[in-house]
Amino acid sequence: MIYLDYSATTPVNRRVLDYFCTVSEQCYGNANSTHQMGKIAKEKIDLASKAILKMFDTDNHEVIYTSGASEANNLAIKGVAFRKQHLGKHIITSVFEHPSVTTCMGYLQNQGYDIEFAPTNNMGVVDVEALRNMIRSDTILVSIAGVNSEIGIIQPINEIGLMMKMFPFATFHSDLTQAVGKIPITITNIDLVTFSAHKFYGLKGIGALLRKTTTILEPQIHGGKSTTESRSGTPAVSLICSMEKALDLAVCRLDSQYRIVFGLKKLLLAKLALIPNVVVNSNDACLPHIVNLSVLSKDAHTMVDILDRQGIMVSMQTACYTGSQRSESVYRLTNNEQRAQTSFRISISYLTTLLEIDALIDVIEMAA
Amino acid sequence: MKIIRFSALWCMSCILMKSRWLQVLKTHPNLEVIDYDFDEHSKEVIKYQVGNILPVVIFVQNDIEVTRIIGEKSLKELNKILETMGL
Repeated sequence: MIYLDYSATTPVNRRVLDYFCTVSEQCYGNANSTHQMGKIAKEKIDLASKAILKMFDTDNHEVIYTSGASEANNLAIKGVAFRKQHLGKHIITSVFEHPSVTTCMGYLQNQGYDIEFAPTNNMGVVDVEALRNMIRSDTILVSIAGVNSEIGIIQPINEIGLMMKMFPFATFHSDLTQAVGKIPITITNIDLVTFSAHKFYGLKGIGALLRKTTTILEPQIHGGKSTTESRSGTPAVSLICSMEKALDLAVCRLDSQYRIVFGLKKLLLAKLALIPNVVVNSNDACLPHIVNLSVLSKDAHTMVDILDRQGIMVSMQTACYTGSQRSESVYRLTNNEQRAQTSFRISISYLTTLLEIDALIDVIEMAA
Repeated sequence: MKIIRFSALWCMSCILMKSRWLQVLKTHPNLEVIDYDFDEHSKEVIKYQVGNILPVVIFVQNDIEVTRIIGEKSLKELNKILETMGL
């Protein structure tokens, strides 16, 4: 089995899993309880939160723990939209967002919000100047992902964050799910940041929304204060601690792991360039961990099946075309229907080997 | 004349087109609009033979389909279609 779908999810790191088990056994108290076990659990969460904020080099954000990035995106977007609706209903996003962002936008549009998409250049990168010109007095939220999940386009979130300082009435949210643990991130000028542990060798079922303390959200889950007023529910102490551990490991090894992945991508691209009928949709503005490509002679579903039958796991995305395989992101980037219908995503990791790349190339060569 | 729109919350083209239709409808206040969600209204999706591409906008007069617009169209294209239909 060759796993090349690390952007969908990653295998859990053994140290993370061991830590999860230890905390589960030792800190089983409800952090909302006032007795000793509750206090131990609460303390454990507080320590994890402090460590997470330190890793992001911020002391003016709060960590809101969620079930993952989709919930965090929903809380960020709807939380701001509902809280600030008396100030305006204009929201700006991009065409390269995760469905948990786009679908929120569709939902809010049906509630009467005015949704607009920021223009991008031919590399898929948001035009910050054009975005600035789109901001109106009734703009309440700008939501731009740090890295697109399908093609890997990296957005200039620092630049956007700096620009957004000119508009303090508008909240800036960035879904950093595909960026955290992979590239260095500065969140100083981002009001709301989303990420999920299972993208950086943590466990599934835990994610977070980092909220700048000046940004007020309308809760989406009601039921008591818990560790935060923004999200109720019994805190998952062991999952929270395991996420902190996973993040710590990812951040500590970020440079070395990035170099490995960068080298692997270079090799992969060089080999793909020799195969006729293959077009790489990812570009120089993309994260090395993601290579989106099209085998023009095969639709995406067929190609993913061929690879799967050979024990190679990759993925494809669909949107808007309800029964076919058209990739919305690839279509938006390339404006090419054939590339959009034939595109699939290879996502690599520092765990990927040269032998795995060779095996992948062999199958693509045969199929192309 | 009424228009029947099929869209989905997750569909980016639908979000884009709804914004454009909002502008068009400002100048065509007599158009009656009926909205169906692709995921929720499966009976209507089958009835109107909505295909693979969203959004779908069907123009209906006296219960007869006059024309349909599939996928994304620019504001200019939308206005031209309406003009062709004498609206």
